[in-house]
Amino acid sequence: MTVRAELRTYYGQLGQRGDQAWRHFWLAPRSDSAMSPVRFVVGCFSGCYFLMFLGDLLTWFGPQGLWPRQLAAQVATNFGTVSSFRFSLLQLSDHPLFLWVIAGLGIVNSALLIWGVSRRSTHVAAIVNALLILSFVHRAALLTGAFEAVLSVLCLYLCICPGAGRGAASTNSRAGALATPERVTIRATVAMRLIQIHLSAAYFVGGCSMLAADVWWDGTAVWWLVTLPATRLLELRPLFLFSAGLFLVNALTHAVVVFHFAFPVFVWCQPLRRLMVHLATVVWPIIALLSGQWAYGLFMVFVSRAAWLDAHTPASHNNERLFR
Amino acid sequence: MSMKQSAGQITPSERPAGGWTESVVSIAVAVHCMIVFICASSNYRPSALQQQILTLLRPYVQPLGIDWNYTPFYLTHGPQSDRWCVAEYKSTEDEQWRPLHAAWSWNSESLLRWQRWMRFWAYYADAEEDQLCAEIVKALAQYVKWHGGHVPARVRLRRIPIPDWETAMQGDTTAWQSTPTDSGVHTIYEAVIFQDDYGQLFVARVSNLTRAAPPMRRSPP
Repeated sequence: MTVRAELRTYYGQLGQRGDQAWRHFWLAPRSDSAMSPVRFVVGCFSGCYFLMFLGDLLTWFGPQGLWPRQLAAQVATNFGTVSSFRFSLLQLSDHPLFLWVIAGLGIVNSALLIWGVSRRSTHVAAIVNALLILSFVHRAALLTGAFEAVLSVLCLYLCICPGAGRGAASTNSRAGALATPERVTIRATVAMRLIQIHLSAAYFVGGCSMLAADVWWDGTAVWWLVTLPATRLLELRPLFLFSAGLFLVNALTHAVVVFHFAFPVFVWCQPLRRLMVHLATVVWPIIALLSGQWAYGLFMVFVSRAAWLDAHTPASHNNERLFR
Repeated sequence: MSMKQSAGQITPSERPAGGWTESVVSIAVAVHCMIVFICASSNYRPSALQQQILTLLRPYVQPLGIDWNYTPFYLTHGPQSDRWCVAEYKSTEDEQWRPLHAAWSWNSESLLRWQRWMRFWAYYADAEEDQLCAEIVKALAQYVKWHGGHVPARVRLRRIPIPDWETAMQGDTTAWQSTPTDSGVHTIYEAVIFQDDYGQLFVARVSNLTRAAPPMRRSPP
């Protein structure tokens, strides 16, 4: 066989295998009940997000707030030098009643999203939830952290396919028939894969941005986390103030970095997936305790489990529907 | 895995509607994933090329909120950038400084928001972006007036040093204090606020006295 023929054969086979892999990864239909665990977690934490904002809604966004609409618009456009495409319902008005109504709508809508009365209403709730979460995030981007960044993206992907009608009931319905019949669709596969990929990106970005600072290389980052008054959930400094305490600080610091790189790689390996998710269940609460970002830590625990462990495998080809 | 089925809900097997649907989905997904990759890789210190690409993609990535520009996924960057900031004000020149604090200040998400706001202010104060700092101070003055009834005369932003592990091991008592003292505290920004007869606020930043010209010494007669 000539070299040209060999190359043609090689790249031909590569293309065919790539096509098959792509179709299996993105286009194999699956039951939309696979999205229900993610919808449940996103709904719960969206509700928590709105509830946590209630205490200082007027402090930031009120007419005498610390971040008025005009200042927010000036910063977003760099005082008129750049265009901004961040749309927010909260930019429409700073009247206290309007703000309370929006926040209340967010809480009620989160409950509808969790409950999942029907497929159509759940879809509407997912879209409204994404709109409200993004409105809060875009209204004051400087106040947002990793929790809001990941939550808003998952809310967006949930709009593609929010899942079957009955919320949590459909996640563990092993014993009997579902209250709402399942639908097998490619949208569920696309939504789930986008969520998995974006979560993997969040892990990677976290690890890479950590390595941009010396404290994560020299192993002292955990000490700075437990020392900052703003980030302490508990007083943990006495745990590290003994002769070998620095070694404990170093070990925890390195473990956090390794976990951020190991999870998004090994979670894609079927035999190691469950191990990685169980590891996340242990590591993220520790990160939450150390960093004080309990919402981010708990959210990553539950959504990592929901996205990789509770998702169903792709359905067989006996019942196929496209974009229903 | 066997499908859970209820009577009458099973649809007969059929081929996909058309290859064009799968092609459109595949192209959209591939493009979106590429954009996600660009946004994720631009999270911290993006290159000029990444910034230019993000500028072109702004109409797509900003509304969806997938541009993670400078979102702090790193938890902490240590003493270089993560320091304890405190914003204080006083209503008159004779009063003591009063700290601003969060509504639910027990290490909640609310307190994290306050810290992010103060770090944002500190960053631009260090960069001497006085116009933006003045706007922040005006908003702060309005907020204090809403709570306290009158506009503050002065505001300041201070940065509290955090002792490292070795210093804490040596028994430095300041490591245990959660309230700031004057020892080692650095005032990043301080401003005086004036209000005219029409209620309009004016902010004047107080220059660092150590950067002023040294006093002239008179030579002895």
